[in-house]
Amino acid sequence: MRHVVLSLSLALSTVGSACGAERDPVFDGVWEGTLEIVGTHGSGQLVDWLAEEADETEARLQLRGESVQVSLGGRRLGPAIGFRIAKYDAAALVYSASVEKGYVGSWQLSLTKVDADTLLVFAWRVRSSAEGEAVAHSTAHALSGQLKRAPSRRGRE
Amino acid sequence: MRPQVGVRAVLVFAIAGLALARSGIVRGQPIINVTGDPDVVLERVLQDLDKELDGKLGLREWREALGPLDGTWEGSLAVIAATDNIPAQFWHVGDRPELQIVVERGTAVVRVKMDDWRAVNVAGGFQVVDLIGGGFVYAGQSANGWVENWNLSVAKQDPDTLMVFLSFVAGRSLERLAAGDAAFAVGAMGELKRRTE
Repeated sequence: MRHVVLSLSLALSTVGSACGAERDPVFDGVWEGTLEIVGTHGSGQLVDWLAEEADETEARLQLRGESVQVSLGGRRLGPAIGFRIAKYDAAALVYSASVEKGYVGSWQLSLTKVDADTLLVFAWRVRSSAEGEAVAHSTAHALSGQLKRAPSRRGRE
Repeated sequence: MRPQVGVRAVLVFAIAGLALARSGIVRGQPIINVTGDPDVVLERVLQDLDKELDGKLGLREWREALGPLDGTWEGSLAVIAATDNIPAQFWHVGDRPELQIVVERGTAVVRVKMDDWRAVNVAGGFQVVDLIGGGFVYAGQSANGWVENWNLSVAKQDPDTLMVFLSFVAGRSLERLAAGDAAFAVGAMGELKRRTE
């Protein structure tokens, strides 16, 4: 029972840290727009967030304090460790990493405010697969574009 | 949610939080960001834990075989994209800047070759997130009415070869944001080799 209580307190502190984030009027809100695929590396294998032969994708960022949700092509990206954000004045870095089916994948999205309601985004998606003997093969996609702040349903963000 | 499932979820979240914080997946980041449907999150965390802690995919061995990011890496990048308003003195599409990254114990020095190697000066220096076979090298700063954001995703190809995917974005600082659109971005990628001498 003592272990359950200890676990409960640890779990609550973990979840609470995510939910109790400070509000940030600079970046908080929903940002939407189109990101163009501006570069690729490696094989042309399809990725689940990009329609076949598409050269751009719809993007949606939902930021609230330290909490970040990223959707591309209408699909929410969901690495188990979540996305993290590091902010510097009017710029920010959103990044994540995941391990899945023999691949190590990472996302980095560089954000810079263009004006109060516009974000300039440059993103890299990198995936590396292990084929044993310490040799890895990587694929990468670069995306760039501007996202606009979506009107808040509550009119407060 | 059934009671026994709830207790299981509490235990797994607690263990997962501690394990992920300690695992090196995101070194130096003590708290996981739990969002989304709890059962979906639980499944994902279980899958990641299964792979990370049991080593069924051999990721730990792979990481050890590829070695740490620490070291000196040199090579040239190809600039693959830039916004139309890129300043004349900065990189343009087709440029092949030479880059050096020196990684040591969670921090990095990034140098660009002009006549000689010149360090990219950012307050606080570059930070490093060392993942399995790759990671991030990043820095950001605000000074003199401008912000700039250097972000490099890196991926090991073998112990002595590092793929680098760089983005640089810059713009006006918050206090000068109303002065007008001046934000620009550039992306580059290339292969760096470990310098051994």
